[in-house]
Amino acid sequence: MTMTTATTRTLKRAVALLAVCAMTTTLAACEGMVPKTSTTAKQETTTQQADLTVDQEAAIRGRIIKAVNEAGEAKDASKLDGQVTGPQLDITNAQIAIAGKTGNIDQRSEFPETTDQIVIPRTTGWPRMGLAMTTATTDGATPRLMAFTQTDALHNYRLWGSVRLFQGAELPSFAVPTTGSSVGTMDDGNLIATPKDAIAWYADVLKNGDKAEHADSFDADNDYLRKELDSLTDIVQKGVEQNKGTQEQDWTVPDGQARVMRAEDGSDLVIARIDSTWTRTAGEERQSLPASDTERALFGDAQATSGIRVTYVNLIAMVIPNKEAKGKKITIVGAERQPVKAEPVQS
Amino acid sequence: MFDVAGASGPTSPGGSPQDHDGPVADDGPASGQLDAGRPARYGAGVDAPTIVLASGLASVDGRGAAAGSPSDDATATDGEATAVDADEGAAAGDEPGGSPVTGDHPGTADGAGHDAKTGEEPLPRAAHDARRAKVLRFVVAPVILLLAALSGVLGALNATVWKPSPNVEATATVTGAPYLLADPGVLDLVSDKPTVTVSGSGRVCAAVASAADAQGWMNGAEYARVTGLDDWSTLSTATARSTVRVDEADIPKDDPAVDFSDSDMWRSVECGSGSVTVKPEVSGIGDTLLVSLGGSGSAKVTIGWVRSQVPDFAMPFWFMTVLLLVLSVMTATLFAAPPRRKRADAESPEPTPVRAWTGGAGTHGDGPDHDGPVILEPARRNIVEETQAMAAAGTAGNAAADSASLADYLRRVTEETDDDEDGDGIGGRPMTRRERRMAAKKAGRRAKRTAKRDQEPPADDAPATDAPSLDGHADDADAAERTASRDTAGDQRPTAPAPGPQPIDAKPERPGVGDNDGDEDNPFSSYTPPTVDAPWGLPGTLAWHDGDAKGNEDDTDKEADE
Repeated sequence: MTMTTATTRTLKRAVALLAVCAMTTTLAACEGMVPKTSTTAKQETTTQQADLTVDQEAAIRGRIIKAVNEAGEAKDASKLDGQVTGPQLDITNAQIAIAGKTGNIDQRSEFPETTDQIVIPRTTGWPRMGLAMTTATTDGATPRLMAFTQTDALHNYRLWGSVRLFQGAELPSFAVPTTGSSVGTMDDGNLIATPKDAIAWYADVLKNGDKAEHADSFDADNDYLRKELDSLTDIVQKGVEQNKGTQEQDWTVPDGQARVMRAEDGSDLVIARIDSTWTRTAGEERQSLPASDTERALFGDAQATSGIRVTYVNLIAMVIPNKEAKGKKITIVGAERQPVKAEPVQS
Repeated sequence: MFDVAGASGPTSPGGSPQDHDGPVADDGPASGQLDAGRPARYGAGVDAPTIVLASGLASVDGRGAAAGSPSDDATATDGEATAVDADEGAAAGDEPGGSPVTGDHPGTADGAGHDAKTGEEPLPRAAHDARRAKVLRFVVAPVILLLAALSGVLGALNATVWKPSPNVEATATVTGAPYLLADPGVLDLVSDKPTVTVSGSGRVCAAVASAADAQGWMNGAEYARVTGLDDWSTLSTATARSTVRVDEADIPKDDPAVDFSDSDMWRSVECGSGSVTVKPEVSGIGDTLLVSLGGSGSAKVTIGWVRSQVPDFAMPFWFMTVLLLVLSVMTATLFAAPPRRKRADAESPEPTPVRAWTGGAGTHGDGPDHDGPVILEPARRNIVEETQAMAAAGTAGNAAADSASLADYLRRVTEETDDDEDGDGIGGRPMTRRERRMAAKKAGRRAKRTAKRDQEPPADDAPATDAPSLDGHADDADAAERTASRDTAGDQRPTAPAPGPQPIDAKPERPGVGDNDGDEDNPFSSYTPPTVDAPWGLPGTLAWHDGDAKGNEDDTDKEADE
């Protein structure tokens, strides 16, 4: 029998169909394609993301506050190990020492655990910095701006500084915690003044007042620190004059004692440490005694002389506007001032 | 089976040999002049013969010359018959074992030896279609059905035994590194809820952290990377070194590094002695798993996942099964039907009817009351069914017994077609609708004249010659003989619309075409004058004029005309 073309075609189709089915059976009895890690996931690891989750930040902050409060209640500075660092360590140690003498812990040494806002850093390197603005407490304590820092990956976050925010102070907006905010640098040139210069300028303003070279760069109207210092200096000056003595305050900026966080509008929030000494002398062979309970506690049983020098740790929180923000000045939004040492000096 | 196509006189397609000695293709070995001792050429099981008269005429006798002596067929009969091999239509008789489509009945005239030089157009296409249909039905369709079954089995296996396990567990062993770090994307490679088990020799801690934090913690140390899956049970690993390093000088002596488990950088951390099992929640993009091996430097890490969605490999097989089943059915039915049938139907709504005698085995309209000739239509190419049905009937052994009636029937047919005095075109071509209407009117006028002449003759007493007859020739000289033949064949056809069986040209019951008279029991309840329509219009294929004498057509006609 002669196989017709149609029959041949039909048979070919049948064979083709059979082959297709046979190949399909190779899919049987397998687990499917082995998944591969996507390159997107690897690339996203290099993208910026918040260094901490909100839960992590809360855990870190809670741990630190708990340690500081416990140390203050126990008047045991050893409990601050690994929890507090930088200027805040000096401040808290002084507060605990004073409390040991006076028997009462300064209310400023206690921190509320609730916050109005947190700022989580977004960086791949170290040191890192985080901020937390606490709520106002019922006892009338002003809200605090707390700064946490992690110096390297082998150490945990610690409380680096805390300042009391001035009443009515306006802080810039920061990125949401899940995104994270950039950590600024001391040499940020996009501001009306680099953080490093601004800190130095402000130290000069504190020393020289309106006579300072860059006094106009700062918003003096809302600088409550300067106002209080000027008021206190005037009061002391009257006493010194009655004792025919002298007074002198010196302001210095230590290296590496500042933290910078970049806000959404391009401005920087800078928290810096400025050390100061206040030396007072009395004439006519009179003794210079501590002027407050705090100085007295720090002075202790030291023999009073004609002169006394009190060392202060000052933490300054300032907002340095972006360079594009015309007409704006550097604003001091919060400060903390704590005497850490009082010692007699010979005039 | 063998189709003796066009077995007719060579010079008169519309005519008919009157001697009825036309080609025979019906008998088995016992038939008349057939050399019963010679085996059938085209194999055993040849069907009962089917004679297809291409032009509606044929002469058949009951001698059944064909089987075993193909060369004699053409000469033993009137020599005018044409036997065409169903295969190619040419010299089919020279090919022993030729048409596989035909010749399934042993000893039956296969006609393969019939000469194809009679000038009649053979039916090679018909044979070809028959072969094609047979291949499709008995070869391709079963193969597809087998594939469907195979696909179904595979689908069932993939849905049960071969169903992929939802639990995936991959393992790797690392050595020589104090840390093990999974690349970002590995933990949620299969699902977002992995279970990680690390077994080492010392205190083992596993932490989820960002990749940067992990790198910072390792502080320049070498670590083992888990880069993914080699296969479903093996983790792929590599070795690398941390790119972040803290200067030792920057770390104060009195401020040592915190313990691994105390670091603030970990999203979560679990430690254990010897082994640890964690279920890290991979929430952040780029989070990874850092494992501190406690300085042992060797550990076995296993990551398990539970797949929420297991790949469904059964579904394609189910789909294919259904598809193949449908394809198989279509192959056996729709695809097996020759496309020319449809074209022919579309192009020629009233094709030339071809008549055949199957010895009582009818294809169309066969039933208990239908013993008359079976009508085949050339355009209806589904010959296989018809011939097979005919073969079934032929094997019943009544082909020889009906030879006489066959001859008589065909003779009558030729007479009818020759006597075309009405001009209705019967025997030459199908009447057009207009011709049918004219014929109907003519019949009506003739009936009126007859009625007027007879002065209201009683219907019950109407002579057979006055009633519309099958051929419209009541005075035909052969009427008595035809009547006798009909009686012999059991065809009690009345010659007038009197009670009892209606004329054969009345509308029979046809599948798909009702008579619309509401009388389903009587297949001849709708009487149609014989001159109105072709007496053997193909039921179901030709438009059956069911109109009354006034020329009104019913809906069926309209649909058919459309």
